[in-house]
Amino acid sequence: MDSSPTHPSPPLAASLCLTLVIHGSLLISGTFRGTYDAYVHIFFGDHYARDWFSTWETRWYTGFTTVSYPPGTHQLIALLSKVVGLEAAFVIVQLSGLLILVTGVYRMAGIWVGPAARRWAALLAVVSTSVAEAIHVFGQLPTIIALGLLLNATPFVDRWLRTGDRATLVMAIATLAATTACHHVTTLFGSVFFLGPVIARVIVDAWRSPDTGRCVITSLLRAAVFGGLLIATLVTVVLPYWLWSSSDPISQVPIPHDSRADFLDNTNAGLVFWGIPWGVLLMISVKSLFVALRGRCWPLGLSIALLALLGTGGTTPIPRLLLRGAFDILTLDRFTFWATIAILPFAGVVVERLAARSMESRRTLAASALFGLAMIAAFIFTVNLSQFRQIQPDHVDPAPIADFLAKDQHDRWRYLPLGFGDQMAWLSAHTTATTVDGNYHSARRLPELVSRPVERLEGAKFRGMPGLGSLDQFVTTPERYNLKFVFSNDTFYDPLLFANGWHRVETLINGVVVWERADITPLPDTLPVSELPAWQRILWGILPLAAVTSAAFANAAALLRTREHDRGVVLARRQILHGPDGATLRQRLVSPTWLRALCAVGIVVGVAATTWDGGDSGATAQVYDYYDDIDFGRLDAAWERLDPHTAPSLEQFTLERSVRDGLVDGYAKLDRLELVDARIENGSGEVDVVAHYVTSLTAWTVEETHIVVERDGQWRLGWVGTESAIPVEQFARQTVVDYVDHGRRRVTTETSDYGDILDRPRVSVLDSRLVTRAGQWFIVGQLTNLDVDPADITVTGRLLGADGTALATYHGGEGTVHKVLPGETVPFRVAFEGVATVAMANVAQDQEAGVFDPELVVQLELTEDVVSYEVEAKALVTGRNLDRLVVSNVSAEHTPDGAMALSATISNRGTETATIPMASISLLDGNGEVLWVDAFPLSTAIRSQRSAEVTFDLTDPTTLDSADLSGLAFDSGGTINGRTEQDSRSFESVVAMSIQGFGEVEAVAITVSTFERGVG
Amino acid sequence: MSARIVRARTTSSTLVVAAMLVVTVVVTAVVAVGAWIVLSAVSGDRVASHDDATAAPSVSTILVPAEIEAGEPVSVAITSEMASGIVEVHATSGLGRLSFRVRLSNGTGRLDLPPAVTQHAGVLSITAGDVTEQLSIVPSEVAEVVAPLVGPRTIVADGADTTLAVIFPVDRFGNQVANGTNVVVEWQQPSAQGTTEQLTTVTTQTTDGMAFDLLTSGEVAGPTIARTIATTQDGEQINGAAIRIDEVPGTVSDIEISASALSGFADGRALIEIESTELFDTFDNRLADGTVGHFVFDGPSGFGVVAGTVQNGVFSVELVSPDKPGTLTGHVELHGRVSNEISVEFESAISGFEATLSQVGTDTVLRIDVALDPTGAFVADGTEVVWGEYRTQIRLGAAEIRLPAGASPESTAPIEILGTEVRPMRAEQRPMGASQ
Repeated sequence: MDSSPTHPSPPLAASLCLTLVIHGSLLISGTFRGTYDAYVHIFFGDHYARDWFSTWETRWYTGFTTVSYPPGTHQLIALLSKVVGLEAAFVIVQLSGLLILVTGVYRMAGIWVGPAARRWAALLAVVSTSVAEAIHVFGQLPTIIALGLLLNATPFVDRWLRTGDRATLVMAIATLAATTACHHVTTLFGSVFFLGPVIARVIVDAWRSPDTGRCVITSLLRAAVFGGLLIATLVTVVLPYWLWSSSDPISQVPIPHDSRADFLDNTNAGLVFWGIPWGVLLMISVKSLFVALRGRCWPLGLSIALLALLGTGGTTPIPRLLLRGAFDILTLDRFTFWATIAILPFAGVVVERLAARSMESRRTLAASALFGLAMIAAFIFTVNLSQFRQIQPDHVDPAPIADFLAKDQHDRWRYLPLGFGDQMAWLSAHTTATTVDGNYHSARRLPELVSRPVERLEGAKFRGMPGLGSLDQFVTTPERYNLKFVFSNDTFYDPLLFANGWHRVETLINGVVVWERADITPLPDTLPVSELPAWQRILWGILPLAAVTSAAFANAAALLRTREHDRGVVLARRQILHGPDGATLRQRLVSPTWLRALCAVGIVVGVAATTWDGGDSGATAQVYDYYDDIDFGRLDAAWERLDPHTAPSLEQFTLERSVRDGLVDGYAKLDRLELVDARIENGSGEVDVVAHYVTSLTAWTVEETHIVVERDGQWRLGWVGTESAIPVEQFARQTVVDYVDHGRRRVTTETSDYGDILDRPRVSVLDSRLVTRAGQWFIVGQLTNLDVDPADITVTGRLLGADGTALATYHGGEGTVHKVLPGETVPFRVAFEGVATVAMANVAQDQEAGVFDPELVVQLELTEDVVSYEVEAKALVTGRNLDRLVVSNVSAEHTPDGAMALSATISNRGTETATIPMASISLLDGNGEVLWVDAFPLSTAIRSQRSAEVTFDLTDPTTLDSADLSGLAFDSGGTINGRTEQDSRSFESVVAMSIQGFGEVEAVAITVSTFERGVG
Repeated sequence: MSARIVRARTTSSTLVVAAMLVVTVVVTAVVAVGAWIVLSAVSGDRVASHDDATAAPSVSTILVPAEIEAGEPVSVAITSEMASGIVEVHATSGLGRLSFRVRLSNGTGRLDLPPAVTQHAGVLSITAGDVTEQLSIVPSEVAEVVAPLVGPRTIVADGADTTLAVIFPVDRFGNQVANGTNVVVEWQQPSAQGTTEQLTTVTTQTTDGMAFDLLTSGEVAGPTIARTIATTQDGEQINGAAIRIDEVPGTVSDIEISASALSGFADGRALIEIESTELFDTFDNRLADGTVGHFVFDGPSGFGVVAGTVQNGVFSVELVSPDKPGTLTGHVELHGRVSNEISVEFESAISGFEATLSQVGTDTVLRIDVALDPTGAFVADGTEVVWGEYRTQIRLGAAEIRLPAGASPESTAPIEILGTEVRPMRAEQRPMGASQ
């Protein structure tokens, strides 16, 4: 067990050098850029670099306080960034943290095991997959440094408890102060799992000493002194954090985290949060734990066992029982991480013994070599995990976006990045412009964000409908947040933006598309700042960094102190671990039989996993697999599943797929496939399925019937039909009226010239109505663009109370045609929605339980009755998104359930593909006034000069409750040719088709606008 | 003895470490606070300081003129009971405060305020000791007309719409000129083609620093230029910038439409062009390009709406023929006006076709052969064939749908092409692979 001349072990210096070489190379090569958290820490570093003593950051969440996260590491980045820049500063601090961690493992191990084992432990830390994952996949910085510091403090604590050496007490407290400065949670919980066992063992040792009573009391007193000082340090170093935390407690809907999942059910989560961190250590973990639990190391052994158990997340009910409410708040992967670190001393013992036996036996040598190779392979796999499975979008150069924000005073408005992943923090570090989003969810306070289980709006689609619902509130009511620009790196969100009146401005050279919402008020010149009192800011700016500096001095001082004591402790430990039967135990422990067995099991499992094709090869399984292949773009595999008798050639099949576009084919993600019915007899039949898609607009279902046939013992899908329409003209020509608005005609940084600001087009609200449907308030109506210029309209609805105060304000979203041609009449719909609170928390839980209703909206919670309403229409000149599609062959039919379905042919006579046609259908009463407005995005694109047949299920008018309340309309309409639109509705009569037998509805009007993917 | 040494060493170490920690904290604090102060100073924040305290002699009177013109130098006379000394004099206006030192000689002092101090019209307060006098600075002659504001800049040429020009004449220092300054506004409005443009000149006067004029639109669409001229007391004309506004056409007065053909085949593919005559508003202004209108029709395939825009004064849309025979009638709606009604007759576009069902192994194969139009040619490629829920297209007069056994529709379901339905005939069963 101990080192001996014949059993060499790697010196600590070698491990540190390896750390520098391996992790240093990886970090310098930029692995941190693809991690989850690295850019967040860099952003915080940028904050302190810009203003050291500021505790308020305006760039995220409309402002948040930075005392919500301990600043130690961030301030180090800030300091270094002044010399080497932000990214290099992060690399230096991260690498320093790793060196501290490896040293910490070495020093902590010294308390529990012998010199050789502690050296092996340090080496194992260098190639540990949990450390590699934490650094190169998760991008964790504060937790790494904090844990390193905590481990470095353990020998000081041990010495203080055993000897009462007050210098070591000071060193321990200084080091733990630095731990707190970097990551207070590590001090809080880490103390329990790392320092607790140290204290426990000292007390146990004291109990076993000849002078039990005095020794135990002394140890307890010293532990009490240490505990008191630790708590005082914990409170003092980050005092502003505690004060903020108590005055503004975090109350958010828990954000789902896969570390809380059932790893047997969610195997991907199991791999990432359990399999990879443990890695090859699993092979020796049982043995290591056995070593730990024997002798007097059992306190740490128990700690490891508990950590490992908590790290299993929701696989067993035990972590939830133990952690109770904290289970839904904590990310449980940290327990696994701590377990893999805490076990290293004992893993070092096992490796030491394996190395010793390798000198004597070739088979053991081979097993050892296999173990070593497995460690290296697992390490390489882990650091390259993002290559195997992309966890972040491709790198986005933030410079063009920062330039865009800086020019023409674009930073006077807020922006929202979409599809950036964690790189949004890197973008934020490049600009002083502000965003409603952010990448540090604990600091969020906007109700729209904290009430939904969405970590970031930027990645809303990964949180399903609650995420998209949260994003929807922001893009529907951008005025509320002064939100004018969206930088989209993911076309998934295009339909949502288009439907809510956003339009594309340009594509930047980094490929990011800039979307803009017209008519948004700029931010005030001075933003509200909620800085803490000066004394707290000074404390925040000084104490954490002072703590880190003190720890550096303390540990340097420790190095200068004699090592004789260490040696004595190590000798004592050797006696404890060896025991009288040490030699026999060693032989028993290091037997490589278990290693071979584990390898064999691994090989069998691996072979089985690679050869297993999912089992069921029946007809329905083929249908499932076909959809899966299509969803992931595996067209070759999908084509293989088609009936060769009816299938087109592979080339024809892929070609036909390539021309399909639209909401479902181009912007949706298959959520699940539901088998409705399978009618199969004698080797053929039909399978009815419902494909459930998620789009940024809404959940979407597609019902399909697939022919299935058995050919040569294999089930295949029948293929019927090809591209449906052939355009009338081979070469179509079209004359159009096009528009361009130069904006500033002069190239200048000055304020816009008066002459460059165009008049607002005159728009007039023809009629409006306040209705409720299923408890939700709506204002529906129609307006006309009276002007000769096309108009980009903004419709604002307000519900008013008895004294005229606005009870709720919302904007026209889906259902509103936002870009209006000169002389055109279009419908609008303002759908009032409440800011989600408790209701959405329940929704989050329901969704996890699989019962989430995508149609669910949060109702307004009004403090008083609505007595009237206002609707305001204003417009700016636009030249975008003005194409209209042709509606023909319209016929209305009653459905069997008494509702009304409208069938129509929608034709695209333009020269661009109508990627997402959007039909707004107004139900009109006998006076031509709007009763209701339905919005129907079409599922498929309509290519130029082609048509599509569609059916719209109209809203049943009996489900609508007209509020019969008076309303006021504010618009810019006026007298034209002596006629006002009010005294003669004939200014623009609504083009509508009469229908009968549908309640109050006597006509329907259809306007089909379109989003065109290729048109900016 | 050794215990004492160990204890002494321990105490010494503790003190050293503790001292180092204290030093660290203090040094960090000093450096940080120092950096803060330096950075604050560098960034322009004021560091608190106190005014110099001076033992000033008491001032008895300040003599200044009651009123001067902007930019005129002014002399301030100060008297004091003390024969000598230095008096601090402050000149305060809405723009801030300037301080001067005046040396007394024989109880009097004189301060000549430079023109730069009197450039801004308004009240200038002169303070020395406890005495304050006020000096009124009035604007000087008009020297410039700041770009006039005209809005709205698009009005309807209907003889009723209005726009407003607001003019701000200023003196050479940018002060708004005195009330009553004459300002001339010239409106150059468009006129009918071939006639001289209409020029309207209005003279107005400034009130509270500005003048304005309201223009009523003419009846001819086109650009209108607004020019402004201010006049000095010497009769010198000061020209302002010209501003362009647009007088645009109003609503359409009458719509007459026609179709490019009055009959055709109902093949779902032929194009019919619907075009209006040139469209004018009530005052014979040609309608603005981009104005939207709708061709609303009802035909054998149902109701339909085609949106189109006015281009070069003409509204036109292209209509695809229906795929069922019958009469299509429609009209254009634009600006609420409804055009004349037109009708187009559509004949059946298919004379006949054969549909054959056959069994190929377990598969059912539907084959359409020789689908001809009334002229005897194949129906157009791309014409849709509908068999229950399955569809395909004609190519070279033929089409095929192949279904495995058990798939609907029933083999007796009719086949529809361009509104013509035929029930398929059953052919003999062929062995697997015999079909192409």
